[in-house]
Amino acid sequence: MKGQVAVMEYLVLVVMTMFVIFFVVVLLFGYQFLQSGSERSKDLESHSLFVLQSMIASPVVNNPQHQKGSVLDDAKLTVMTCEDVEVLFGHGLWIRISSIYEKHDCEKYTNAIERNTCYQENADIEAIENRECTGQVYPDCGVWTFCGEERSVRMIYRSVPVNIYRKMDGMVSLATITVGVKGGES
Amino acid sequence: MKGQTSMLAIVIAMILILFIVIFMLTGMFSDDETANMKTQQRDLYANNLLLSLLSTDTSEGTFSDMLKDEYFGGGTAFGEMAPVFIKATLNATGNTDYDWLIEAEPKDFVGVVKQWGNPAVTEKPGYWDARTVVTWGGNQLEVKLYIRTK
Repeated sequence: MKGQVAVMEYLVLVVMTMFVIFFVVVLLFGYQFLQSGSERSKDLESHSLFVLQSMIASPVVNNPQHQKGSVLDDAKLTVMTCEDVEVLFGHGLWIRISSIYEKHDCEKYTNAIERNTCYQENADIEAIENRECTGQVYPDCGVWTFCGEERSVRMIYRSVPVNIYRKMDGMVSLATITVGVKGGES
Repeated sequence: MKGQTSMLAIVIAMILILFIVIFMLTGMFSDDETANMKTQQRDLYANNLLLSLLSTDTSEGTFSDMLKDEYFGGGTAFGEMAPVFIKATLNATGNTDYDWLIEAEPKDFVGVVKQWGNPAVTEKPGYWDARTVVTWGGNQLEVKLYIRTK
């Protein structure tokens, strides 16, 4: 009987040790797996933030009259290409700058003709606001896109408000810049 | 033998506790890093929203001029136009669930605090803010923007 108890104790000890070894191995592998995924995600997050901060502070795209940064020059943006972006900020990026234009308050018109004219003007403004800027349509445009957005690839996006200096009329308009960083196959 | 088993059981339990503590600590540090990045992004967003809005030209002048006019009782354009532009900016950046409040008060003399937006934003903790100073002549107006998720 005493011998059986000793064997039982020994068995329990062996099982416990094996369980602990198994637990530690699973924990280590699981940790490694999770850690590498979260590290990659953190790297992408921090890279996208870095690109965004660099872009809005870069003298290459900012208007020289505004020293504080975040006032992008529309003429500079129009001549800039994806290759320029890659040279400045690296590969695997997608950048979009979209203007926000002032629209009329059409509800204040009681006359139907005036109101319809107002709606038409707002539609024209919206068309310009959403038009991609190229040398042919400049300055009647409000969107600048650099490099292709890849739908098959996981991307991390960051957006902040900025200003656009409209060189032709010397006005500063409101806009948003969105930076997408490619993270790998989804 | 029984004593040895107990000793080993204690050692194994200690190893397990040690592992769990290490895991919890590493988890805490990684959360710290993520939180720090989130704060940086929020600060950048709030600062840029406030500064970009105030610098924007409209048919009524810059928002900064409109704010000064409205603060001293001369106009209503800031209160009418700022919400429209802020809403459009929040929508364009995918932050449709943000609530905001703008406050203005004199920096160099005692005056009233004027607010635009939702005053409930600062009622509970969890908001983030940006501030700047609008100057004209010899006077200064401190403008603060508060943002929080709804």
